[in-house]
Amino acid sequence: MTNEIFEEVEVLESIYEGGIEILQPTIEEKKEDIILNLLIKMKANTLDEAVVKILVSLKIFSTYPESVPEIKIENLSGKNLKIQESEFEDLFELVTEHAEEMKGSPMIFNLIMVAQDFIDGLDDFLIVVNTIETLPEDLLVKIFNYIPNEFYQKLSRVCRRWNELVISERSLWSDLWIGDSYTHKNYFYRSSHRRSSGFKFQSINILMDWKISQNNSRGSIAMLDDIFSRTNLIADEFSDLENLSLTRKKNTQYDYSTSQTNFMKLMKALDYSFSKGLKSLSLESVFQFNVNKILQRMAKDRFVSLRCVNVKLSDQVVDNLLNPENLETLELSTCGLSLISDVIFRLPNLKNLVLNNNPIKTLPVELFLSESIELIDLNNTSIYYIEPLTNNEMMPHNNKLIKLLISDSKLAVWPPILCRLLKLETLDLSNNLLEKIPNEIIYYEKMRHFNISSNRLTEFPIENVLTSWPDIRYLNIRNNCISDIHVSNNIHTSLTIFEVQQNKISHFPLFYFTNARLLKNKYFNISNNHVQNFDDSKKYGYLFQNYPINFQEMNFNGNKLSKIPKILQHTKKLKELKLCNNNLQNTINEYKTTDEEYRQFTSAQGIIRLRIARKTNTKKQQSKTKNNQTNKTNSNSRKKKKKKRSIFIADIKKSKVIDESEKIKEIEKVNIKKGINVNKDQKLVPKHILSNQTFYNTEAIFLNLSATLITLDLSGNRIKIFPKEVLLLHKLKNLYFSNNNLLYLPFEFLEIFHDKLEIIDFSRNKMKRIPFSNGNLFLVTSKFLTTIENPFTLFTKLKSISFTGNKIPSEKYMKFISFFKNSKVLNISDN
Amino acid sequence: MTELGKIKLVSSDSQEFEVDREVAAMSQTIKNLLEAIEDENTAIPIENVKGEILERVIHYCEHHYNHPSPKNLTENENEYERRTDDIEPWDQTFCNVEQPILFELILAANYLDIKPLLDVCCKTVANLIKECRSPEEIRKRFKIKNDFTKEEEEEIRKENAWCLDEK
Repeated sequence: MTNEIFEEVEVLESIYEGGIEILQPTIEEKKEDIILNLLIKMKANTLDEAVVKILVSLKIFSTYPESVPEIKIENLSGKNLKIQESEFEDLFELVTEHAEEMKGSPMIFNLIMVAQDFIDGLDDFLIVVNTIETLPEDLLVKIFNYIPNEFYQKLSRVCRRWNELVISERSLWSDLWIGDSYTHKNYFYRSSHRRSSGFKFQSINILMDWKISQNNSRGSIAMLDDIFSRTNLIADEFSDLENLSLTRKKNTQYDYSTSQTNFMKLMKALDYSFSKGLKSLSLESVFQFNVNKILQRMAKDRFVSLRCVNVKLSDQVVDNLLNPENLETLELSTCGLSLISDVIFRLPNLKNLVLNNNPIKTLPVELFLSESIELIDLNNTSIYYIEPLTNNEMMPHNNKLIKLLISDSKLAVWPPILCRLLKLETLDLSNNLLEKIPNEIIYYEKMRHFNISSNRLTEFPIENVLTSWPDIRYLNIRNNCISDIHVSNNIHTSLTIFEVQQNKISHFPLFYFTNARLLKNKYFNISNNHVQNFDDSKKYGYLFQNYPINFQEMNFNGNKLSKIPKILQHTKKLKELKLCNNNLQNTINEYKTTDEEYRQFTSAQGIIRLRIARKTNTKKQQSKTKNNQTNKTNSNSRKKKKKKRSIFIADIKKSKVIDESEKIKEIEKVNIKKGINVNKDQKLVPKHILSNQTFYNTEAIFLNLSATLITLDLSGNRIKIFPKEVLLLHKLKNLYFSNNNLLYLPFEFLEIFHDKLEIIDFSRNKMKRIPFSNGNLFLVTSKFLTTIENPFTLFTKLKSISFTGNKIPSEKYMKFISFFKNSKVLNISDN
Repeated sequence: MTELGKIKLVSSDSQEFEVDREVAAMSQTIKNLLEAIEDENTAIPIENVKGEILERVIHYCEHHYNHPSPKNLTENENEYERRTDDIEPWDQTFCNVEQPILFELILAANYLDIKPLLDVCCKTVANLIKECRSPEEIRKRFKIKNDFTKEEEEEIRKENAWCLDEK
C-alpha cells in the first residue's frame, strides 16, 4: 500500500514540477498510517513574484483507499498573497466532498488536482497581504528618512533591496542627520559602493538638544569629532559639505564645564579640509565664548551665507572675519555689536544684511551706496542718526535696496538719504520718534508696504501717497497724532490694509468704502480717534448699498460717536461690534415702543421659553384661578397686565402666547400681501419697523445685526437705561456693558438672554442690587411654581459674569457670589 | 441623492461612504477630482483602496478636520523634519494596527495624497524599525527574507567592521 501512495506522489511531482513540495512524509509503521504533507505553491498571474501556498496534510490510514484520508488544509500566506478566508473554506469543503466520492480508489492525485484547479480559478479572490516589501521604493525611502543616519548600517544588512536603497538613494544622505542614539561606536554605514559612486554630503544639521539632555549635546560633538578624526577614510565624502548648522535650542541644559573640551574637539574637527567647501554656516546660541575662534578658522572665500544668532561677538571680530567675495547673506542678530564694520559694506555680493537687536547707534551712509544689497534689517537697534550724503558722494544708479527695516529704534528726524532710495518696496520705520515726513516720499513709485506706526506724526500726505504709489498694499499710520486724512472720494487704490487707529482723526474718509480690496477685510478698526459722526455725509447711505460689506469685526472704541453708525445697517457678516467709550447715552433708546408692540415682537421671535412671574404669596391663589379662566378673561387680564407692565413681564398665559403668535402670523400674511420683503432671520418683525427700514433708526440697525452679531461691547457710554434694541440681538453670546450708569436691568433681559449669554459684564455701573434678586421671582414650569433665589442660575450657558464696582451692598454681593460656587461659571469677580 | 455638502465615495470592493465634502477634500486627490466633477451627486470611485481601509482613512480625516492640530499651523518643517517622537496620542492609537493594515494605510494615504496621514504612518514604521537592535530583528519583525549569500554578508560585515556594535 505504501508503495502505491508513493507512486501517486511521484506522478504528482512529475506533473507539477516543483509546484508541489512533499514535506516529511511520515510513516508510522505500527499503525501503518501515513501522514503526507503536500505544499501546493502557485504563482499568481497578476504579480510575478507573488506566490500562494496551501499546505495539504493527509493522514492516510492503512485501509486506504477503502477509507478516506483525514484531510487538513492550511492557508499559508505566500510572499504577499493569501487566499481569502471565505474562499479557503470552500476549498476545504470541495476537497473533503471529493474524497468522500472517490472512496475505494486511489485519490491523492485527484484531490490535489481538484485543489489546484480551484486555486487556478481564484485569481480575483487573492488578497494582497501588504508587507514592508510590497511598498514602492519612494515610500520606503520616506520611511528611512525618518531614521537617523547612524541606523543605516543596520538597515543595509537586512536584505539586498534595503542595502541597495541605503547605498544609492542620495536623498537619504545629502542632509546628514545625527539623532540622539549616536554613540561613537555606532557610526553610520559607509560602503565602498557609495564612495566609488562619488557620493558626497551636502549639509550637516546638528540640533544639540534632540532630547534635552547633556549626554546628547556631548554625543553630537563627539560624533562630529569622530567624523573628522576619520577623515583619512572619508575626507572625500565631506569635501563637498556645503551647509553646517549648529543650534542649541533655548532652555537646553548645557554643561559649560565640558563645553570647553567639546569646543576644542570641534575646532580640531573644523580644521580638517572639509571646511574649504563650506558655503553656509549657521550658529545659534552655541559656544557663547568661543565663536570668534570658529569664525576666524573658517576658510572664508567660498562663504555664501553666515548666520550668527544670539552669540556674543566683539566688533573687531567682524573686521577679522570677513573677506569673502561671495557672501550673499550675513546675519549677526543679537550679537552685541555697536558698530557696523567697514568690511560689511565693502562686500561686493552682499544681498541680505540682518543686524537685528544690536546696540548700533549711527549708520554710515556707505551702507546705502552698496550696489548689491537688497535687504537691510536693523530692527530693534538704537539708531538715531544716519549720515547724509556728502558732496563727494554719489548715489549709485543701480542701487538695489528694496527692503529697509529700522523699526523700534530712535530716529527723530527723517534721514535725507532715505529719499534717495527710490527702489524701496518695503519701508518699516515703526516705533521711532519721527515728527515729520517729507513730501518726497511720493517718489517711492514701487512702494508696497509702508509702516510708520507709533511715531509722532501730526500729518500724513495720504491723498498724495495713494495717488502716487500704484502698488501700495499695506499702509500703517496708527498710533500717531494725525488729525486729517482727507481723501477725495473717487480715488482707486490697490491698498488692502489700512491701519489708522490711535490717531486724532475726526472724519473717516469715504474712499475706504469704494475700494473693493479694503472692503474685503474681515476687520474694520478706527478705534481711539476723534470721530464724532462716522457717516453723517449723505453719500454714505448710497455707498453702503452699493458695495458689499464683509467685515466680521468692527471696532469703534474710544471715539466720540453720538449715533450708532449707519453702516451697521448694511453689514452682512458682522459678529463682533465694539462701541466702547463713545457718547452713545442718548441715541439708543430714542425710540419708544409701546409695551404691547414690544411684547408682540419678542414673542414672535420665539424667545419666550421661560415664564417667570413676580407675585406675592397671597396673589398666587388668584393667579391660579386666573389660569383656570384664561380663555374667558383673556382680554381682561391683558388690560390689567398692561398697567402692571413695569413690574412684571412673564406671567404670560399659554393661551395668550398662542393668541399672539396667531396674530403675528396674520401680520406676516398681511406683510407678504403688501409685498414687503420679510427676511428669514427677521421674520415677524412689527409693522412699523419694517416700514421704516429705509430711514435711519437704531431698531433697524439692530435688527440687521441680530442675524449675525455674537459679541457687543457698549462699555463706557454713560448709558442710564438698558437699551431695548439690544434685546433684539437673539444670537448674542457676549455682552460687555461695564462703565455705564445703569440702575437696573429690564425683566426682558432675563427672559430673552437666559439661554444665550455666555459672558455678562455689568461691572462699574450704578446698580444698587443684583438685578431680579428681590426674592419675588418664580419659575413657572408646567406644573410647579418654584421660587428662584438666584436668577442668574437660569443662565444656562454662562461662563463669566461680573457685577463688581456697583453700589451693591457687600453682604448681598457675597450671597450672589456664593450661588456660583461649584458651578461652571468662571471669573466671578469679587466686589 | 446625497445630503447637502456631502459626497459619496466608493471603495474598490464597492462599499459606499458618505463624507463631508470638506473632510474628503483633505485628500488632495479627491479635492482635484471634485474640482473636475460637475455633478455634485456623482459617487467618487476610490479604486485602489478597500472599504476597510477607506473607512479608517475617513475616520482619520474626520478626527483631524474636527481637531486641527496647532502644529500644522506653525509648521517648522526643516528643523524637525525627521523626528519621530512627536506623534500625537490619538494618531498613535490610530496607527497601532497590524502591519498589513498599516502598510495599506500608507499606500492609501499615498494614493489619496493625504500628507499628514502618510507622515504619521511612515513615522510609526520608522519607530518600529528603530526599536530593533539588529538586522536580524528587523527581518523577523517585518518578515523579510534574508536574500544575501553568505559571501555577500561577510563582505558587508567586513566593510562595517570598524563600526559594528553588535555581535
